[in-house]
Amino acid sequence: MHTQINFAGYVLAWLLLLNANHVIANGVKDENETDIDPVLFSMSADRPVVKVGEEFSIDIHCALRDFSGLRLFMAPLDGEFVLKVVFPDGFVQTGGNYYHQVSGKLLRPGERVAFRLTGKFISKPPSGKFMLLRGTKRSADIDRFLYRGELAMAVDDPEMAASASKQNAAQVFSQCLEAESMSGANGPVTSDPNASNGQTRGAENQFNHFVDYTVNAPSAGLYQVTLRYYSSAAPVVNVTVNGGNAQSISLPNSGSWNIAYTDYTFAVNLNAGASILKIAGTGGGSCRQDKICVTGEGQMCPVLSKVRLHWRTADFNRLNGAKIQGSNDGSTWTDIYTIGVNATGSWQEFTFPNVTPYQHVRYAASPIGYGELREIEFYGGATKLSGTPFGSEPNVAAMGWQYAIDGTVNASWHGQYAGVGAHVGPSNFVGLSIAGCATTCITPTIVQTAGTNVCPATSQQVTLTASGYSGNVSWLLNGSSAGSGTALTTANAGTYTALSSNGSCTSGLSQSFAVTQAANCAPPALAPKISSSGFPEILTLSIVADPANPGGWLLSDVGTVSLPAGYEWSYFIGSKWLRTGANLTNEPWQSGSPGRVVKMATKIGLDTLNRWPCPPEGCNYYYQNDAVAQLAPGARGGLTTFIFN
Amino acid sequence: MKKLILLWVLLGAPTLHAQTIPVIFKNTIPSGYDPTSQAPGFMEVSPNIVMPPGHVLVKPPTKQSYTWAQTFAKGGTHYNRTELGNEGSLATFRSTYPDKEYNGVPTIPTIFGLPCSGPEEWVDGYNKKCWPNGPFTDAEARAKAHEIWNSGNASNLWIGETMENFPFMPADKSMWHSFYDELAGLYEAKKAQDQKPFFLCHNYFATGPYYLGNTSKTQNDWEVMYTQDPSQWQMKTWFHPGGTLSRTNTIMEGIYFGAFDLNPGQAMNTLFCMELWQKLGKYTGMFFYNHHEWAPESFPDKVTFPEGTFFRADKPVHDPAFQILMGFLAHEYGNIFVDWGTFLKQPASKKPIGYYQPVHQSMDYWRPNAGGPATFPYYYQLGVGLPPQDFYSPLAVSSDYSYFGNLLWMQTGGNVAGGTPYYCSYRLDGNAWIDRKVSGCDIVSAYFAKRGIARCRISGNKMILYYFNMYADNLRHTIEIKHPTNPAKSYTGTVCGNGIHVVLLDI
Repeated sequence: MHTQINFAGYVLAWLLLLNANHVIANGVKDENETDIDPVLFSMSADRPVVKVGEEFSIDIHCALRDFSGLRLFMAPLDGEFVLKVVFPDGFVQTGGNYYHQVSGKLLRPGERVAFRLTGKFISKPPSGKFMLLRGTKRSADIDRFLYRGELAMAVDDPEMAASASKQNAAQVFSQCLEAESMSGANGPVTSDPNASNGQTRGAENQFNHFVDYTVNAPSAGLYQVTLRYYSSAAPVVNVTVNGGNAQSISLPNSGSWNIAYTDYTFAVNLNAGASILKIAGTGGGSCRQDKICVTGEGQMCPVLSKVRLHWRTADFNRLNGAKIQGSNDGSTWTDIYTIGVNATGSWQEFTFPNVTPYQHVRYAASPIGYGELREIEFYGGATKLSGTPFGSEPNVAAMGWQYAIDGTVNASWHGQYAGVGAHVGPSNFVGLSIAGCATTCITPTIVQTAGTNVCPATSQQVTLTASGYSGNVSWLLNGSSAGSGTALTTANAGTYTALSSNGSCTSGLSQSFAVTQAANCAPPALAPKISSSGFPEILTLSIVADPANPGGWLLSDVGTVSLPAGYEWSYFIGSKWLRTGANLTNEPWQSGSPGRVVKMATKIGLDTLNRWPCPPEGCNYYYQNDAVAQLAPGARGGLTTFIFN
Repeated sequence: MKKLILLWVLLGAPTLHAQTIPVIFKNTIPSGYDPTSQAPGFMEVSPNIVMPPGHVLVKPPTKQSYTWAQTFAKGGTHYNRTELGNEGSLATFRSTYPDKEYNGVPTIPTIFGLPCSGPEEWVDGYNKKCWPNGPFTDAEARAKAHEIWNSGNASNLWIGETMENFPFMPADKSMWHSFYDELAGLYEAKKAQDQKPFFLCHNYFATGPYYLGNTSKTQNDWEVMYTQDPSQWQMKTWFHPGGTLSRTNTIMEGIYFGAFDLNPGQAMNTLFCMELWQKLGKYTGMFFYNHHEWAPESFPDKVTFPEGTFFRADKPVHDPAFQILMGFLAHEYGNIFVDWGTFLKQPASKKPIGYYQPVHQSMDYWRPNAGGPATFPYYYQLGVGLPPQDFYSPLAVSSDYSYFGNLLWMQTGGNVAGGTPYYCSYRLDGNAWIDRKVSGCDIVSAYFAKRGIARCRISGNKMILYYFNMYADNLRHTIEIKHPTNPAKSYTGTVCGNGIHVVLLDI
């Protein structure tokens, strides 16, 4: 997985068009800054291609145009300007008279000024674009600038040049497709001055848009896809080919939802002829898609045609019926060959007439087998295949599947055969994700490896283990994140799923696995927690379990303040208003919902608390000084809020 | 005999196919949340989550460690530009989070740059201290719109503070129409280019004639509005077409509630108004203050320290169940929730506590433990010219709950955002069914009957089902709720109290 650079020309100079479609850099069009710019800006570099570490210069030319013949428009911009050059990654300035937000003022038509920017690339950038922005005096304060074009430098990395050259020579297929031209898509078509064909597909503030690209590859195989996009933050996209072979890709942030694009290259397996390549935003920042370019020679995954294996020293009949399988999506497995002989305890070789290339290949045990290989090797013709191994869980302690594919015939692999998680048959497998070919991740299978069911109240747990996966495993409970790692120990009932990812791909979702709650499990033990309270002598709330109503509570007030004469206690318990002459006692609260109790001494018979201290003008219906008694300095009452958790 | 068979079939058919599905309503407090720390903690117990497009959440960073990025990761959509703290400048924020800015309820002098330097003199409803030449002319108002737009201060979430205090300019003045007409035009042009929604709201609370407690009106007067076009309503507002505020597109309901006994009715009236604003074609939402604004004051709040107990008397905090309920309903009856008045960037250590002598000397009480200092040892003096510092405020955790309401909605209603809402017929404890209203005026009916509301929202094969009762007792009840469009289906569960009961279902 790598980013691809697009190279522009040597010198890029441009005239400013009287075009209202120009957009300023932060995406906000400033009505006070029209595009009738009296200053003409251009940039040029002193060489077309630079090497990493090689110093070069860019000149920025500014000339006041002659607008004497053009007085039809108001032109709030004048010859005074501030410049800002947005550097590409990896570039450092080493000299020149340009500095950040350098300013100038041109008074007479034809008057010119130039700024020089000298520097070098210290690393190969994703893109060699220098972007020129222009502002007014005020722009520095409000950070608003007008886009005035860009200069793209080709950056040559000697270490990569040789491989790039080889790659270019080998590329026999190239097809570019504009996102806005694809009929299968959602999200708006939006304009962008930098976009290929001037338009993109997608919005700035929504990630969930997709584009279906119809790609016509000359032959089936592996191709490189370079996506050009704009993003407001790092986007995550899901890539599928004809609805399958899903891979989730975390794209780097382009840095701006418009103007500044990024190219990102990834690999996909395409069929010969038309394939629908769907790129759909699934999270993170928005991804305004501009175009894709598909290149490559249709590199095929190798065709598995032989395995060599070495069985352990016993139970030779368990080899008979084992299968060799292949998969291109890491989820669906196709039988390539079924072994029809017993093991011998020494090396055995099986060849078969397979013609289909697969990204992943594996050995799956016979219906009575537990793995039991000491070693296995996969071959395409005479070539031993390499890649990232994977295998099933659980296994007997110190007899993991890794022993079957570690390159030595010593220890053997043996799947768990007794206790929780014991599994016989083809759920015992070991295989390879083939190097240079596999673009998808292995979808894990969930196996319960400890416990029976769960009970949160007693911390009764089960352990779930992911069997067969790529990279790291993520767990979901009822669709929400529940943890990560090969195994998950949990006390929570529900439906679990898992997926795996290795940084360049994400597998499909595993099968669902239901974890049940023990039949005699009490509801999670809730305990009251006081969220806020006041003077304890006024209101101290006691919250105890209601023995007559499991899950319910009884509220009592053990405050000690005396009730003034002529008043009664007004308690607000949730929405209930209780008037009483005594402290609150065993008031039912029959749920675990949060709540509040307020306590005040109110005039006996008061109809509403909507009473206020009398103003100087006097008292009336709404103003009544004695409606609520002052129970203590600073306290008109007591208030306690609480939750259960 | 044939008739008997037919009768049996007709009677039996609904019974044969009826389906009552038990549901368990979702807990409203995230697992692991513990308010006894007395420090804000909503982020630590909440998953990263995204507010669906078109919905707005302004959630301030209540804890010192909370950042802009974390706020957005928890579903926040806009950030108050006056509360950026020391994380970076406004320019940095704008470049990092373009168009996620909220203007923070600027007052009239701030919006228009009025000096307000003259003597107080009230004329025709306004104060010449700020308006020496009277309201803006049409041209002046339109020019002001451009001036503000060009200054970069017209954020996509604009909520003003325009109806209070000395800079007040009555909302019926024609200058407002000119100003918003021009400003809305600029917003609309921008939206045509970038497809970003904007919310333009004159004031953080709405004033209007729609008050269910108006004793000169009857229940029918309000219910009939649900059968009429807004142009037919007997009472119009400034927001109606042609009104001075008609070019604003958002009307916020301020949750500044009064005495405890009035709250259920006030909350129902809020929902009623939100329904009307939507019928008028406006966006709407809640501008939420986590305390009561107009209630008997002086309720001390306790903060414990090893040296003793500190109390500060303040306005009473809302019921957490109510905070959660309103955080949820803001997105069901509207699409905007703004948490206002919450203290920012509070230290988890609970110290120092800000102290401004003229205000706090009569509000604070210190009860030292044995051997503790005689005066509170962790004050931070506030005042003009003193350096800023993050400080703690009692009731620090209160705004966690209104966030939990928003979170609950994102986890449930967020799955059916944009779906179709329906009121539902329901009954409690096997009593008579309370049928949904044909015109959709269930809020009005519930207000006058002092009862609860069962409602759902359906999108595709998912539905959220919810029930709330502002007037509830605190006892358990069995509820049965009918599916609004499938008479053969109903749902049953247990409800208790005045909070939100919600469940997300596959249908």
